[in-house]
Amino acid sequence: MKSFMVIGQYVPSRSPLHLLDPRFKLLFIFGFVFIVFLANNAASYALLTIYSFSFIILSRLHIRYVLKGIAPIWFFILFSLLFHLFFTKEGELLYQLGFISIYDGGLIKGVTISLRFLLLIMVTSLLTLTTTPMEITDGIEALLKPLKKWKVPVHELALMISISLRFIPTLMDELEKISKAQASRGVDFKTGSWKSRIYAVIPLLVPLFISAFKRAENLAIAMEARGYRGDVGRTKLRKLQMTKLDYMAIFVVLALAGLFFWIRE
Amino acid sequence: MDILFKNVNYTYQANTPFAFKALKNISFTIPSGKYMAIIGHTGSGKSTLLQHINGLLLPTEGTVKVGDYLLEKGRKSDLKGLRQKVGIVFQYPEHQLFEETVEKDISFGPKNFGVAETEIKARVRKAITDVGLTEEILAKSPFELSGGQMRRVAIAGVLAVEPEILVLDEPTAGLDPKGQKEIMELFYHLHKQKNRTTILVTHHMDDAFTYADQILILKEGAKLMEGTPDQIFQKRDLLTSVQLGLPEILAFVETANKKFPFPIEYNGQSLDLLVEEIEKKLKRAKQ
Repeated sequence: MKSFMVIGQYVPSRSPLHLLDPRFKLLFIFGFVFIVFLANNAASYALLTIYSFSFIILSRLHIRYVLKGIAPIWFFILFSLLFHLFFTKEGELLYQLGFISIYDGGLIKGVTISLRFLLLIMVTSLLTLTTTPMEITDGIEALLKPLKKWKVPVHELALMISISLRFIPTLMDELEKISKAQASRGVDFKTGSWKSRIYAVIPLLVPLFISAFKRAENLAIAMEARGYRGDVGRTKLRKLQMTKLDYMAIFVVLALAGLFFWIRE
Repeated sequence: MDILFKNVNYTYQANTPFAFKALKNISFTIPSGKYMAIIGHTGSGKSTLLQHINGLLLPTEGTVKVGDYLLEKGRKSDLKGLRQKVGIVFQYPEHQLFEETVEKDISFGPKNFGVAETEIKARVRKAITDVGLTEEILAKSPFELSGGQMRRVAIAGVLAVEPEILVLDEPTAGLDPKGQKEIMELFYHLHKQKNRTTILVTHHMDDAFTYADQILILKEGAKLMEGTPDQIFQKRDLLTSVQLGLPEILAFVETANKKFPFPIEYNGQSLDLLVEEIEKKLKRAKQ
């Protein structure tokens, strides 16, 4: 039983975002990453923010839950904001107190960069929140298929990704169990000097690695026992199929992108 | 040290879509020096409950008191001091081994709790013989041992801390029958010899019946019943309703009573004695 949360852990639901084809979602995220960096005026930033929050609403997840899910990233967002606020010295001086001076250029840069960061993380975390790891790897495999011509081992790559994703929660569980066992034996992970805290990691990592290797071996044996022999001749249980919803989504996204390019300078 | 649970509730991942209530309003007392068995099916909250005893989990609501340590949400307590007094043998404890040698691994606990070097040496030797291994094994790497030996080494690592309360989470799972019996006898012996409070989490009715003074049965995170083995097994309808059967020997007495025309009473005798008794009665009945 887990008492912690993984960033962007899949939440089952049947919202429109959940039902979309993973290939489309992956391409969309890919495009969104570029689009975010093309925003160059207040209106275009506002538009992107509205888009992002509408996506959350479409996913039928609580906005608070999504924002809480990216909690570990908040630090970086805040850091980039403060960094630019204090160290970028462009434009007019707005405020000065002793050695601290804030310029309007720094303010604008800080706000825009941390906003970009926030939107990026928010929208990409929506991908994993609404798509199962299996769907994501199926999508990646389908999108990379053309590379097979150049002998890129697409299927093997996809399998590696799906196995790693599959085992993240398992290893996290394992780590939690081991850390509880070692805490019961008197290891203190939370207080003490830096040196002692670094040493406290060894009793966690050694057992974790050992069990990961054992697991890998067992998994390989189990797969071979069930006749797995790589990509050749392998069929899929769930074939990815574009639906009406996907075509609608493509149309809407293109329209939204058009509006964005029209509004930016 | 007495253990006191008072209206304990525990929810995993509270305030998320994954929230799961694992313990529901649990109250009970384990007096110092008693042997308590906690029984329930997979997912009944046994493991969650035992993690409250040394503060690995703090109750979402309610309080847990272990000796003078009071554990509740938002309260800072001296967890290290508590953990020195409460030793937990987790399920598959061999997964926690990590040191280069068996000796170092067993010393790990006592070292963390600041026991003196010379004292540690003595404790390691005592612990390794207690679990039925020889001192030659101390110089070996724990990873070259057999599964059963690894289990014993891991248990020795907990015993070397010399806790006042010993919590056992299915300590014999995956061992062969002989190993299971040896390990269970070892814990019982330590319980008797040192008057050590022992808490056994299991789904083996037989172990609970053989060793425990008190039995607590959990169902879906709530307390179903509590009492001495005799009291518990009188309510057999309730037991079958949660798919927990009678211990083998009681089931045997019951069938024997149905089969033979004379009454057979069970008051703690061994299976061999019981069979002898039935034989005698059978002969007498035939005459």
